[in-house]
Amino acid sequence: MKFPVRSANLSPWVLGSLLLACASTPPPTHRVASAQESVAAARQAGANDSALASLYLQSAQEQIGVAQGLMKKGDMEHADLVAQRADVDADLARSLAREHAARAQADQAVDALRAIERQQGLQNQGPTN
Amino acid sequence: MNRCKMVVSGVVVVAFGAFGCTASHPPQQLLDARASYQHAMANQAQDYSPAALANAQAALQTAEHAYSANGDEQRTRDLAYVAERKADIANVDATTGKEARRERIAMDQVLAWQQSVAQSRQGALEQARQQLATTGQQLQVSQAQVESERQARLESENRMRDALKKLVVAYGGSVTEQPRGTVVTLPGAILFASGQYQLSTGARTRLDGLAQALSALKDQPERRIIVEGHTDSTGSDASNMVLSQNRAESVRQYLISRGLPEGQVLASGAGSTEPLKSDATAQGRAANRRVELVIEGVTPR
Repeated sequence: MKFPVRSANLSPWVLGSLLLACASTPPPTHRVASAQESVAAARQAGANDSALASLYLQSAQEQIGVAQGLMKKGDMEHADLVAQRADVDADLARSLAREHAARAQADQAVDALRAIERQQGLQNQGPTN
Repeated sequence: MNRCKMVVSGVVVVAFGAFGCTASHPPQQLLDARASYQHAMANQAQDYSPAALANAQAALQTAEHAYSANGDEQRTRDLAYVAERKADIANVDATTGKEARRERIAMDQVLAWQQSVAQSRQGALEQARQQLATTGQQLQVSQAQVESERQARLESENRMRDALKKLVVAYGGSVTEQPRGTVVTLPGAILFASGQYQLSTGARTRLDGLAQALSALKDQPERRIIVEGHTDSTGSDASNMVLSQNRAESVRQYLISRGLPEGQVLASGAGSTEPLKSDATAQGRAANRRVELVIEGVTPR
């Protein structure tokens, strides 16, 4: 998980931003790259198989585009925040994809158990005339 | 959590930039982030996804600091957006953990059932094996009993033949194994006077020994004892046939009187049709005058 790393980096940045002007913010290249990696990870986790996950995935991709556009315009501070938003949207898409898969697997296991219980019920009931 | 609305609102906020709000009213994004964090806490994220919840808490604090320092500006809203998503992630990961636990519990029960079925099948298989082994042992015992009975019967028959041989040889007769059975040949002279079919006095004593030996066959009624009378060729064929039949019947009746089953002993006369030797000599004619006891089904030695 890369959340702790980003969180650890965020607080000094927030503090620093209180003191520094927007123009002094470096280009958020790493932040955008991180968001792109998160998008790839979400896709690999099956985000496209879940309607809700694919919605966040789409949002992440759009915001990456917005962040790149802001970088071209020189609005690095805003680009950095948008890239952060893209990153967490992609992470949420990945979590939702995992939840979707876990729920399907749990449902499958419970269905198997229910089938066994029905079978046991029939066996206990015995043949009927 | 209205995730769809949040996604759309996030894009809209980015697209249209900052709209200022008064510092006394926290932005909606921050309110949503606080609510999402509480939602994650209520969903036991501290138990199922503690790392993600810690990230969400840190992000929320960052957003709160930004709001305290700068009020409702775009940066505060973006940081609140990030905090809300991280709280959502903690919440979703907690649900994922719960689903995994639900799957594990169900699978444990399925596996326990499968093991139970396997053990039950193994038990039934073991029981079948034991039954098979028991049946095999019983079969061996039965086979041993059959073999024992067969041996006992064989020994009994051998004893009978030995007894017959001792008796018959002493009387000048013989015991031979032939395809039709064990044939005991008795000279006619030791049983009958010439031309007679009533047993002589000495004949009864001799036949007593034979009857005693043949009594071993009483428990095998399917094995017949056929008494055959034979004469030499002296006289007419018709009279020889009658004489041989009567002599055979005399012997049969005596054996029955000595305890042999009536239905097991038969009598037939062959007259002079089956001579053993030539009737040209007195010795040959004496050999042809005889009574034969054919014991069916005795296993040859």
